[in-house]
This record gives sequence, structure tokens and C-alpha cells, in this order.
Amino acid sequence: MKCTRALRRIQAYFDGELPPGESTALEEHLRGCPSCSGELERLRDLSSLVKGLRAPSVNPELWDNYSAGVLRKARAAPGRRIPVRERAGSLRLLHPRLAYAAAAIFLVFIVAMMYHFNVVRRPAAGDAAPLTAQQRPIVERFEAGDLASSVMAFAPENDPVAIVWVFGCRIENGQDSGEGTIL
Amino acid sequence: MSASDRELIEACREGRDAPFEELVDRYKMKAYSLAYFLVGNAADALDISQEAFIKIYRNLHRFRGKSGFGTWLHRITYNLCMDFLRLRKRRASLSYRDEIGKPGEEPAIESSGKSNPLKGLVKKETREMVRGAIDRLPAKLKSVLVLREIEDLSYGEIAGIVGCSTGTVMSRLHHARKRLGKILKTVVKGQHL
Repeated sequence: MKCTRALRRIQAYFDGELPPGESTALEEHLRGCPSCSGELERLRDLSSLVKGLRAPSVNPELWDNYSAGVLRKARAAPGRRIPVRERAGSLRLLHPRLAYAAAAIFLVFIVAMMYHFNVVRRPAAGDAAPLTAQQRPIVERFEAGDLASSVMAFAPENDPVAIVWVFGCRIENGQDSGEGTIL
Repeated sequence: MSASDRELIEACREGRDAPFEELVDRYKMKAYSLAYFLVGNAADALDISQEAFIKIYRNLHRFRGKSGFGTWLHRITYNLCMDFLRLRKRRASLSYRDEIGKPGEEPAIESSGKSNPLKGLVKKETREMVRGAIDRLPAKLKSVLVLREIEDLSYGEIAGIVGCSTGTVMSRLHHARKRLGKILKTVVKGQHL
């Protein structure tokens, strides 16, 4: 083994990270090379200086309260750990998409109830008198061509303001698209 | 018979705090020691080590057990120290040493060299100088040196903590030792560094 190759391996050898086969070859070289064995000696001396260092000891009182302090701070700060079992049973259902779906269903239910209890004005049979342009309801007719489409309207009595929700249909003013038309 | 780290972690996951306290008692010195040599003063090291345990407490459910608890703690402590050093550098505040309590009972440092004039006891001043010299190393070099020489970790473990390859660990360690030797040459006269 040449010195250049040996020098590249000395550190790993000193740290016990050199494979056994390479260690034997290096040891052989070191026995006959004062320069490389001097390098190993240098590493040993330096290491002995550093290895002897210890962090200053801590006041025993501080150590005694150390773990209690950790727990107190961990509990006090936000983001307290939730035990795994507790978390496993928690509402993972609150996925955003599911939450939106639940909100939509709730909204449909509310509107259906409004229709059921006549909160929303429905055109009556005797209510045939022509309306002025301002009085004309926004939603006159709606035909849903597919089941996924729906429309909801809210127009309080004696109030010119109406709120209309339209879901899942193509709107073509005045033209029957076959899927849904708002006039 | 004391419970293994894994058993204690499992108990912690069930929401019990006593096993966690046992884990803290088991590893507090390791966390404190690593933080001390990386940041350079005891008060900050204590704070950082406590912060590391708080992080662990909140993230116990993420511990997969691929590496040991000690390695995980080292990694978190190391990251907190690096954050701390970055912040300190930004603030351009000077490193200071504020020893808490009395100085540690440090074992005598022996040198292996036969012709070494410092064979046997090395004075406390020398240890302080070595500590100061380590402090002068760049953070990346200092961390691998401390993890190898003081924490006695393998190249693979150091690579896992620092987040680099074992080749990089070897290279950094080589440069750290070389630079430390240069600094100490002027301080520890007669030592073969």
C-alpha cells in the first residue's frame, strides 16, 4: 500500500470504520512507515483531548425539575399531543369534500322545508294577473334535463328581492338546452 | 428490570406521562451535552434540550422506530441547535459562556503519545482552550466532530442525524480535525497535533 492510499484510510481506520481486510493491509503499511504512523498518532492525540471534554454539570435542583418542566411546557403550549387511540377514533370524516357535501345536503333540506311550509312564494292557480317587469319573479320555469341538476329559489312575500341557487345545469337564456332552462 | 425505550414509547402513546418522564430522565444528559457543545453555553443548552423533548412529546405518534430513540433525539436536538446558531449569527451576538452550577467533574485527559510532554493530567485551562477551539469551528464541522468524538456515534448514525452521506461525514470530520489541530497547535505546545 502506498502512503497516499494509506493516508486516505487512516481516519476511517482510527474511527473503526474501515473494513477488516483493508485494516490488515493498512496496519502492515503503518508498521513500516513512520510518516503514516505519525499521522495516526496525531489523530489519537487530538481525539484524546476532545474525548475528555464533558459539558458542565447542572445544578441538581435544575435536573430534578427538568422532566416535570418539559411536561408542563408541552402541556401548556398549543399543539398538545393527542394519544394515538384517541386520535384514531376522532373525526377523520371531516375531510373537506365530505364537509362540503354535508353542507350542500343541509342547504337542500332547509330549502325543501321552506317550500313545504310555504315560506317560498309559489305561483298559485288564481294568481294569473300579469306582473309588471319589476314584479316579475326571477324564476318562472325550470326544467332539469338530468338528475344532477337542481334549482332553488327564495322570494319572500312583498319583497322584490329573490335569491336563486342553480346547481349543475347549463344556462342558456331563453333557449331550451335540453338540460335545463331558466327563463 | 427497566422497560425498553420502545415499551416506554408505547406507554406514552396511550396518553400516560410517567413513562415519558422516565425517557426524559434516561436521555436528558445526552441531549444537554450535545446542545452544550454545539451552542457553547449551558443555559442555552438546557433550554434547547428541553425544547427537543417537548417536540418529541408532541410527535411521539410519528416515531416509526426505524432508528433508536437516542438517534431521533440527537437529530431533533441537532436541528434545534442549528436553528439557534443561525438565529444567533443573524443577530450577530457574541457567544458567551455562562456556566450553570459548578464546573463538571471532568476526567483527566490522557495522551497516548510516548514522547508526549502532556502525558497524564491536562490542566483545566487546557480543557477550556480545547472547548474554545471547538467553538471556533464552523457549525457543520463542529457538529460532526462532537457527534463522533464526544457522543461516540458511527459515521452512519452521524449521517442520519446531520442529513448527509457518510462520505460527507468523513470529509467534514477530516477538515474539522485538521482545523482543530491547527488551532490547538498554538495553544497546546508540545502536543503532536
